[in-house]
Amino acid sequence: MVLLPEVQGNYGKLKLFIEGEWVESNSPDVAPVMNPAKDEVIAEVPYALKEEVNRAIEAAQNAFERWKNLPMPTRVQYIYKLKNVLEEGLEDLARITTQNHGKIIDESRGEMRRLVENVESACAIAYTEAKGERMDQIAPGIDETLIREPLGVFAVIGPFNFPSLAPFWFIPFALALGCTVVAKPSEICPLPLQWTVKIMEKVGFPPGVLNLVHGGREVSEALISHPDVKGVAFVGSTAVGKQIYKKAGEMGKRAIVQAGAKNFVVVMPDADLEACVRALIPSFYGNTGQRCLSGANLVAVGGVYEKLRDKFLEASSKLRLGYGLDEAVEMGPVVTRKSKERILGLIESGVQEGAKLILDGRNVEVKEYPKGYFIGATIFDDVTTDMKMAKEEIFGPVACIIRAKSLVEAVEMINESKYGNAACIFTSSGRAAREFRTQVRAGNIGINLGIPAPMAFFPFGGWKDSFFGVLHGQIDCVDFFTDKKIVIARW
Amino acid sequence: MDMEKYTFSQVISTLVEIEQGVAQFYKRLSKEVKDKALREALSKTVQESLNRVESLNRVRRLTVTEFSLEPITGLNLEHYMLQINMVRERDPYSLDKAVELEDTLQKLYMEASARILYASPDASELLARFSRESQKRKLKLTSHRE
Repeated sequence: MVLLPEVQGNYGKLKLFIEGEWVESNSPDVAPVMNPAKDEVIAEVPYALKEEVNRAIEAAQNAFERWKNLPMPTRVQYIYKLKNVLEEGLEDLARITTQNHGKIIDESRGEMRRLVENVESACAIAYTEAKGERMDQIAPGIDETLIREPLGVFAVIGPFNFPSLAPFWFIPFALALGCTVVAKPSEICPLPLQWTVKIMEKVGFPPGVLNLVHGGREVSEALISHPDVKGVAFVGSTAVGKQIYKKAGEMGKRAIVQAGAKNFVVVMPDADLEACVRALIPSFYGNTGQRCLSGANLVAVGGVYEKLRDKFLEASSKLRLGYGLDEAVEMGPVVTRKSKERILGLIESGVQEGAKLILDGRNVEVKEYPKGYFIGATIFDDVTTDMKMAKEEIFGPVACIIRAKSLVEAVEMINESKYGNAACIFTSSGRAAREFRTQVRAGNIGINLGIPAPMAFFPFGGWKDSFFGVLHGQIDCVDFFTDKKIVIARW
Repeated sequence: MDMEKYTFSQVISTLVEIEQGVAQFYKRLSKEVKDKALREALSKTVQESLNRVESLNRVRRLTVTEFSLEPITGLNLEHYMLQINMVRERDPYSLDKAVELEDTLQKLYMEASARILYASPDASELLARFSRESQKRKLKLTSHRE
């Protein structure tokens, strides 16, 4: 199969997008941006200075009054146009995502599809959910109205694993509802959002409505601490998410924090094993296991254990690794060398703890890309829930197979986990599925599928240490980006 | 390469490649026939193949999601590719070859439609339509041959 061409070999030093213009950062602090399949520098990312971050916030604040006062149908035209320009630029964006992140091209294309879906969903809510409510005659001659008003400037801090999609769980909604945004992508994987903003320029948003800054923790802190920023939407690790949520709380700001995960996939003895194993492959190894909805612990209930293990092992061992721009490749590298080392360390700890390593992806070789950060599919057998590897988020292509005597025991395992992002069950019993759906404490439930990714017109769930906040992403953002004003009038 | 397992985009890209080859085949064939009506019909088929390429690219762009990423098994694309290339490359270009080609295309699309259904119902529907079209083309070409 042919290798799809890269959009560019090198993207140079990335710029900041402030008040409708691309500006060079004056920061001396610059880091290389890598292509993880090749271990090759493809750009440089500056860590923006505090004054540059402040300038972006100021631009967003200045743009806010004009933007929020645009009539809704006018504002929504920008969002419709955004859909069109994104559709045109989708393939390039997908290839850049693969180049910077490492995920395979179909995963990047799938990410782009979801990104556009969020834009479509934002158009829909602008005309429906944002209308407010009204009731005449709540008392003689008195009417009551609920008006939704946009709050102001929001910070959107994205993760590396869905570098343009995750920020789009928030950005189109914020803009459609009349708020303005300062976005910061992950410094590991900044190119996709940078390119997205470049595409967005074609829409012609008024200057300052959308701004982009680059950097790490200091930039995030500068964004959250600024008095003009009304709230923050963050997607990333639980450790950082907790800090952000705490900081936002201290400052009386709104926050949506979507954090880490350790997801369980339960297979019942009555499951259709062939369909199940087909779904388990993208669940455990999709995005090279670097997604908050990935399967991590595979729980086999009762007598299905051996059969499931053997079939899953066989399918896992056949995965083709390589550079994701080759359409025949089924799994790409992990995102950084550091990630690879961390995952290898966790695999080693699993061995030390006594779990049986039945598929070892540590020394995998990809001939064409010997320097890439590849880890093959890895499976541990006979794992117990007290082991570190069954508890900690690995964020890599590592599956832990766990035995459970019954569905009740499987559900207990899930509910004892500190995370509660997703949980899936494979069964042909409606009763078991219902039991699972009602008993499991997790925010996204999959029944006979391995990746319960909510569509943009549903909120993105998350419980326990996988989520901090009240409102969730995607369509739930209506209440996040607006405040309610109640008007009681007598004329 | 694993003969029995493909990614969604790999299937679509292979079909795009096949249709590009089919368009070339009909282009050359249309130049070789003398009958004006048949020549026009063949030229139309060239355009249809190019339209198919566009439709395949569109369905990939519009429907690929997480669910499409489950491996597609049991579809032996290489076998079909081989058959189609053998027909295309064998001289001389004739209506018999076109009938043979459409017969293979009809079978390929019918099978691919069934295999790709769980990954993308839209793609499955598109491929089923291609299969029906190839069946019609085959009958039309057969009537010209007679």
